Parts: sequence; structure tokens; C-alpha cells
Amino acid sequence: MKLLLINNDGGGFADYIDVPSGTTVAQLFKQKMGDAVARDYLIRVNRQPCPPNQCLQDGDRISITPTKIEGARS
Amino acid sequence: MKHPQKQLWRTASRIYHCLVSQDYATQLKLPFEDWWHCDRLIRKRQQAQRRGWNLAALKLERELKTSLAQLIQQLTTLHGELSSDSPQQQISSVGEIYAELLAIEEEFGELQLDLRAQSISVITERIELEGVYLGPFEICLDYGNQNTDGTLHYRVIARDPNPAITNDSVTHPHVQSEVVCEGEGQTVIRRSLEQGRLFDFFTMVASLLRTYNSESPYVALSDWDSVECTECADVVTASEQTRCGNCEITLCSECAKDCADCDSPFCHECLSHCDSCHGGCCTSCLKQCVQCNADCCQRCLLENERCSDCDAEETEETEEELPETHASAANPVTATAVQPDCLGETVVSA
Repeated sequence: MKLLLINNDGGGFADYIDVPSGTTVAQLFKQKMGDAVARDYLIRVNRQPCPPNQCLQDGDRISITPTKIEGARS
Repeated sequence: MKHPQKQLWRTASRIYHCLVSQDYATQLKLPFEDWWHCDRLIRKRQQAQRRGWNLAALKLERELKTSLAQLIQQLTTLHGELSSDSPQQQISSVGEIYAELLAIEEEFGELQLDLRAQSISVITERIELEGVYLGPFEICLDYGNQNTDGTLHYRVIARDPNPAITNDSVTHPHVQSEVVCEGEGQTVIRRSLEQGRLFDFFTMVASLLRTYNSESPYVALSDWDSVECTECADVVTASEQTRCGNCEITLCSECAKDCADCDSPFCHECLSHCDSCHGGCCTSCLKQCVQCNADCCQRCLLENERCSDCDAEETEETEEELPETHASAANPVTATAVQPDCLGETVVSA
């Protein structure tokens, strides 16, 4: 199935990806973010909060946004 | 307060039209500005190392690391965009922007819409970083205005400001004059704005406000309630600061010098010196010797308003005159001969 993944950790570009049917949010996070800790990210499916074991559906929009972003001085 | 659907749709529609009217010719470009910034930092660091300014070199090195990380991130993003199968620019549709507005309203509790001013804003919770209260912040997106790089303009306004003592315009370690310096979030925040992903934009700016980067703040939180000595630039806590009694500049205890007479603190420029003892003394306390016009402190100016040097000279002269006076008394003829004209004469009326 095809999903729209928006990874705001780093580049922040949106991309369509293919994942096996029945993939959960936690599995996709592990696949895309490696050893990153899920609690450091705001994960939304179709702009809604989601549990880790939620199965993703074809056409879902998943956004992964870090909760800690370091600013700077100009 | 929940907004009526119609108002949200109208806002979404306006934002969409602002986004599609942006100049996307600027989207694919190499990050030259960041490159030259890193280049400048490298040269400055080399210069500091050559001159033996080790602290400055270390500070520049830290800044260089941050800037290089940003440069790498921008290049990675550019590479990612070119490698992606997706279209170059994915601007959200009106429907998607509408859904974004609903999600923002749900996340932040309140969304302020101003169709006339073409702005939408949310207010964060009260933010406190490392024990320093900074208050709630309003993140205001002026979608009717564009920055020079084509992105939508936004401001971060402190709603209960507790600015740094040294700089009133710094309301947060990473916010100055309502402009947030995005640091590592620069690319993703701008990308979210370009694509109309407003929920991501507001949550990321809020995340940035909740995070403190001690490596590169406008004012460090450790110095938030501190002031900078105007003379030596050392940072002292507000309770330890002193002000010059004349020009009122801020001074540290090392740079503030007390007047020997009134004990008030003064800066280097405003503190004069006694010509007699060379001790520090303010201009109000200095008085001139009536004989030589030297500026003297109260201790050096005697009761006869003469400095100790003039007083000593006068004493010497008096002592020299004394033997002559004794001699005149012993020899009146000689004494008469040396008397000046008119001495002892009195005007007698006719």
C-alpha cells in the first residue's frame, strides 16, 4: 500500500512510500527512524494522534515531527 | 472558541492562493549564504588562533560546527528533493489546509483568525526553561506577507514578556524582536510553510520555543538576569551591578571605583584624580587650591583652601621672613631702610 510520509526530522520533505499491508505505526517508525526514541517525536496519522499499534491504511498521511528543535541566534 | 466552518474555509482558501502565488524559482538553489557564513567563520577562527585568542577561537569553532551542520542539512534536503519521485513542490490543497486548521485548533485549544489582517495565530502554554520563566508566546503567521526568500512571514510575540536584562528585545534565548532564529529547524520549518503544512509549522515553532540550545542563544539563560559591565564586558548578576554616579553606565565591582571623599562609585571616565595625593575623586568633590589652582580632594585641601604643597611653601617663606623680622627689631635703622613705600602711613584729613 502507498502512504505519504512527512519526515520533519532533517530535510522535512514529503514522500510517497510503499509499505506492506498491516504495517503498524511503530513498525514504520522503526523502519524509517532507526534507533530514534518515539517519545521524542510527535507522530500523527492523518493529522490525528495515534497509538503505536495502529495499523496503517492505504493513502494514510503520516507525519513525524521532533519535539525538540534547537534554535540559535542569527 | 471553535471557528465557524465558513470562516475556516475562507482562511484556507486565502492561504492557498498566497502559497500558489509564491515565487518557486527560488526553491531549488544551493545554500550559498550558509556556505559563505561558514567560510567567514573559518577565516575568523584562523585569525583568532594566529593571534593567540584561544577563547575566541573556541567560541568560533562551536559556532562553525552548528553552521556546518545546518549547511549539511540543507544540502541533504536538496539531494533528497532531487532523488524523490514526488513532484518538486507539493502545495497542500484548500481541503488539506482546512484540515490543518482544524488540527491546529485541536492541538493548541485556540486558533485566532484575522481575515482582514491575513493572519492566523496560536498561543503556547507558559514556557519556562531551566528555571527561567519566559511566559506564553503567540505564534502569528502573516500569510499575506512574504519574506524576501518567498516564504510566508511569521512572528513570535511574548504575551507575558520577561526579556533578558541586557536586551529588552530578546524575549526568549532564540527570539529577538519577534523574530525566531530557527537554527537546526530552519529547513523543515520553511519547508512546512512552503507546502502549507500549517500544523507541522505551528507544532515545530512551539517545539523550538520549548527547547534551549545553550550553544547559540541570543542571551544565555544563565545570564538572563545578569547585566554586562559597560567597561570590561564581564557579566554580573543584577544584584551585583553598580551604576556610575555620573553617567549611570553599568559597572561590575572591579570597574566601579569609589570617590575618596563621597564614596560614590564612578566609572573610569568620570572619576578624576586629586593633583596632590593622586587618589580617585569625583569632580563634585574636587576643589581648587586658591594659590596654584590644582584640583584637590577634601583631605589634601587645608582649611586655608590651599593644597599641602602651597601651604608648605607659605610656611617656608614665613619661616624665612621670621629671622629678618628679628634682625629688624635689633637694628631699627636697617629696618627702616628696607620698609616699602607707604608702610605705616595713614591718611589724615586736612
